[in-house]
Amino acid sequence: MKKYFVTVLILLAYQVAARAQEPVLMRAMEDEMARSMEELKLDGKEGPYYLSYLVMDSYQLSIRADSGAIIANPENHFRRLSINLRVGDYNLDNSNFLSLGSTSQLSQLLSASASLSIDDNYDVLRRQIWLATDRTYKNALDMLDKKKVSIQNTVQTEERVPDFSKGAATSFFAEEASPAIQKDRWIQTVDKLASLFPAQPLIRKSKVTASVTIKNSYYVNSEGALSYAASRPEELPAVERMQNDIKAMIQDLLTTRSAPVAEDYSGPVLFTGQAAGDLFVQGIARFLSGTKAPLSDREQISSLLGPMSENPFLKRINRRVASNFISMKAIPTLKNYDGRKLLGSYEIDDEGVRGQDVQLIQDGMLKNLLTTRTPVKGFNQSNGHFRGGAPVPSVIHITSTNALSSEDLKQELILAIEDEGLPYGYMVKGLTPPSEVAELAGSNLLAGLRSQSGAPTATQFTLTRPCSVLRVYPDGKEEPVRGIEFRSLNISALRNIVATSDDEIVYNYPANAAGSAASTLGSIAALLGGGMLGGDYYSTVITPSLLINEIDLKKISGNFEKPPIVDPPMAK
Amino acid sequence: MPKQAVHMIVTGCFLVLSVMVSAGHSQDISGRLEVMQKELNRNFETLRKEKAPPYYMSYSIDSVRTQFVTGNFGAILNKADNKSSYLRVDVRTGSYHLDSSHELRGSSTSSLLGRLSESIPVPIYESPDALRIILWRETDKAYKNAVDSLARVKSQQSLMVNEEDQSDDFSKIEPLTAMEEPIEVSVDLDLWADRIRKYTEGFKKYPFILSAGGSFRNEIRQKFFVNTEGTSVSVPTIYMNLQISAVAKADDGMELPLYLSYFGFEESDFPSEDRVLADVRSMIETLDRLRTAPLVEPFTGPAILSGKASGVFFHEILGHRLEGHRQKSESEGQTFKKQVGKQILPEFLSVIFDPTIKELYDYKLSGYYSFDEEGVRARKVTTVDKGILENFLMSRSPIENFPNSNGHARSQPGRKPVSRQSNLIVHSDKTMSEERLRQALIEECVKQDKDFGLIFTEISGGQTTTGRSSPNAFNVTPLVVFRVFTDGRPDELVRGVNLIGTPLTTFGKIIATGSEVEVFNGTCGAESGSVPVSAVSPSVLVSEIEVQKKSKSQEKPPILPPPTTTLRSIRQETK
Repeated sequence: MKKYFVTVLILLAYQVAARAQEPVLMRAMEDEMARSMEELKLDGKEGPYYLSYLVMDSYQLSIRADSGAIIANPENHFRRLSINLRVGDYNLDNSNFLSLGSTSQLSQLLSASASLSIDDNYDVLRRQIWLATDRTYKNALDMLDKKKVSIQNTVQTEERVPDFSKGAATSFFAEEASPAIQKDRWIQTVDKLASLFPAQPLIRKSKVTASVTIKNSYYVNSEGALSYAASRPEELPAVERMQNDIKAMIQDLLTTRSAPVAEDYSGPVLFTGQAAGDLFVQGIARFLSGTKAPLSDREQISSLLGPMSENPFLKRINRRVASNFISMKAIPTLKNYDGRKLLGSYEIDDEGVRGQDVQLIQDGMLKNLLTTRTPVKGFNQSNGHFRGGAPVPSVIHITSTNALSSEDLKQELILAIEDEGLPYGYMVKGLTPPSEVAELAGSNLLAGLRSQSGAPTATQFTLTRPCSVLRVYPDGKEEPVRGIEFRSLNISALRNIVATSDDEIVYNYPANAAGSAASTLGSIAALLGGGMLGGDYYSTVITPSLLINEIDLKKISGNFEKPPIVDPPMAK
Repeated sequence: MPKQAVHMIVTGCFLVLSVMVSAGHSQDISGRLEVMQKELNRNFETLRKEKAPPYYMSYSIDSVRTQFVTGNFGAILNKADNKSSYLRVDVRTGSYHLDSSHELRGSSTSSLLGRLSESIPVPIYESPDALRIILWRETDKAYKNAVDSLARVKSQQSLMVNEEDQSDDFSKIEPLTAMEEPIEVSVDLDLWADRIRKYTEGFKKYPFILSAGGSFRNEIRQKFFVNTEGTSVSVPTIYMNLQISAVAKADDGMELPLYLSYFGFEESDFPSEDRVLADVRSMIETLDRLRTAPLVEPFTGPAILSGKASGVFFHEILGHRLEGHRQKSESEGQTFKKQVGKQILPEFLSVIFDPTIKELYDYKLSGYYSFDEEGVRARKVTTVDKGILENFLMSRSPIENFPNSNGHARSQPGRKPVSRQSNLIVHSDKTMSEERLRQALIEECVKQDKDFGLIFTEISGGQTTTGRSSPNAFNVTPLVVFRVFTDGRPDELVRGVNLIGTPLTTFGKIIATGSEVEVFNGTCGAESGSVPVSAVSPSVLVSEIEVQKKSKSQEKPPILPPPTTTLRSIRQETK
């Protein structure tokens, strides 16, 4: 069963502007914070040494269409508070510790966040923040005690890294975005796009989704105050252009449907355009973040989480991790590139740290990682990449000094095929979105578990099935194939990049929907780090097409469902 | 994994919030039914030529509009107006006697996964082409599953011991056509938001009230049902709900919730703002008394259950055990299967289920509906007549000696229906005044040499298990309990207990009923999802009940006082 997917996203550009008047919400946050820092203290215990409140005021509209008609268009406006409260000191505090004691860890973790009223009612907001802070403080004390015991009881093989780094006070204000979305207009747009499908009797399932988000963030911490906010709906391509894209996609789909089934393969693969973006999102991205494994009082948990949340790149600084003509750089504040809006762009991260440029890979050598105020060994300072509770890519630019025109790149692929003595090679144009894979599997949870079990070691990752693949023959002929998938890949694939294209794709993606094992673990890490789940964060990668050697593909095995017995209703 | 059957009735529980907006397309009822009917016939005709042909198919679509607002302490948390539409496709291969729906013994995980994928979202606006495609696609899926299931059923039949109940898998029924126009009611959510603010604002003043919220919900459904026997039904339902809840925390950490719950079919069914505000005030007063009320130790002895409490009590201990399919399943306890025609309750009690009435004694009843989820007309069923078990609640899944449906197949939109409860009505021929009933309680205490008995007035709900693999117990969660002393001391409000017991032992201990009838409107959760139900009952005197300690939070009350400085003592307020 083939599925096609169109996602229309509107994202927000941060708008810096003078603040006319302090919002009621900010005032409630600041006042309750001041009171908590001064007075919140249980007898015989210490008060918090650090406290921050982050409130996301989100307005979301999500429109989904199936087989040509809208099946849901929920609209939601809510405020979510997340609290990062730390007791102890910068060196040893309650964070990054996973306990499976008698009380439910999950409920404790969830207590660090709360729903806030969407009315600007000062009294009520303060009351809600008060109760959530109280809960969080008590849990923090409990966690710190347990963590201290756990450290005492276990042999520490590695030198301890401080739990938190000091930050400088910053402040940043922007105009509040007003939640005015033209719902009817969006419904019409989705309707226009989706209605192209029913006329195609051979397509069993089609989906169009549009999600519109307006997000205002309000942040205060005990070291200095800061607030930012913003948004302005970006211009989408004209409906006509999107309609044309869909028509092309339908055509592509019909071609693939009748394509021959592929066979097992090992050799060079060219990831063009979107597929190169997908490769970054599903595979490479998580290796760029400085994360460490949480401590735990249960050995099983540590051993389960350890190899997967400990980034192997932490120990590879100044070593070769990619071909010598490849460089990668994070540029969080870059708003536009080549006329395209970069949705991963921001000024200030969720810990109130300014987003900084970071040279991650220089000429194939690993130079740095994306960091937050939670230090990891060798990385003591934040470079402003804390979003949603963990280090998350902002705008990542992949550059190459071995860039070829798309024609020459294809020629390079053919050379590589001949060099390997292969009858043909593969060009992958796109991968199935992870959200679709989850849906196919029946439930997100199951899919999440499956993809985790598919990535047993720290250096491996899995990719979703390609949805558009071409076989390339030595004579240049291209032939669509179907029924093929990737075997598990290793991050060392970056060292097998042979060449890149000279054109680039700007690829915006929701950072929390990467769908890989990393995102499940990221969620846990986010909670342990005092972050929030389910925030809407976007990242951007700017990448050329990548020609990579030694990629393994295999024929999809298993029992395939037979085609429908009854003819489709539109067929005449 | 043993199969767990837990059934709960709750109120005051805010479920997952979803939010929406409507567009002004009005539904073309007969048009949509026709699209469904045509696609059903087209698929049926072709599939009948297959080697394993279906003998029955149905499509059921529920179009739901939900308007919703929720708030807390005088401010709004969430407001929504949402449309959704869910499809369920039923394809049966085999025959009425043995078909693909037959219970597969000993498989619980696959049925759980099956349940997850049951409800299929379909277009929320008129879109015949898209609807046809989805119907076609889902029919194919359902057909293939049916073929697969039947093969496994047949293999079990030959490999496993015979089942006790050899009745058919599906009953025959006369086709019918019914069409009622959709209800086009749109409540003013801003107005309700203002009311929620008003109703919940007062809680702010009391430091011991940790959380307080209110919600209003208006849910309108239009059901579309067609099957290959020729039945075609489209009927609307509407439910409106106002709930206010508050939780006080006692010094020992125990959380003490109270709820106000109002139900209606239209806005005029709801009490005036002044009335609600008065109820809120008295709720605050009770909360204040509750948090300093003494704790009750585990106890057995006589008790009175108020009408609401005994309604839930009957729903749990009797109602769930009268659901027809539970008499057939080999994993169920089947408490009453062999009791038909026998005395199961005292002879002054009758228990009737009547989904066809919207109100009784001035109470609105949320278990009302006109057609069930299998397109069968709802019917009044006398299950227990003067203590004698007469009948079960039946869907089209027959059980021994009860071959026909009585219109009790229910489910939440998109889920597979099973027999469920509707409006449960307890009728008593032996009532006495509440004063006299209280006296009888004291007499019973004296007889049993107890210093006190209990009166349960407010409850939040209950739960019961009916399966074989776990003890068949029930649990009712009381919110307000009084101790009644034999020595003439005034009644004393107490806290900290749950009412527990096992069903068969408890039935024999009902001694008398009072004259005051109350209704409990709530939501009942079981394998086919949440369905609105009600329970109407007089208060009852039970010679022996058992209470156990309620679990309590170990968390201390907040360290800092509430941020607002406008606190007043409740004593001054309520004087």
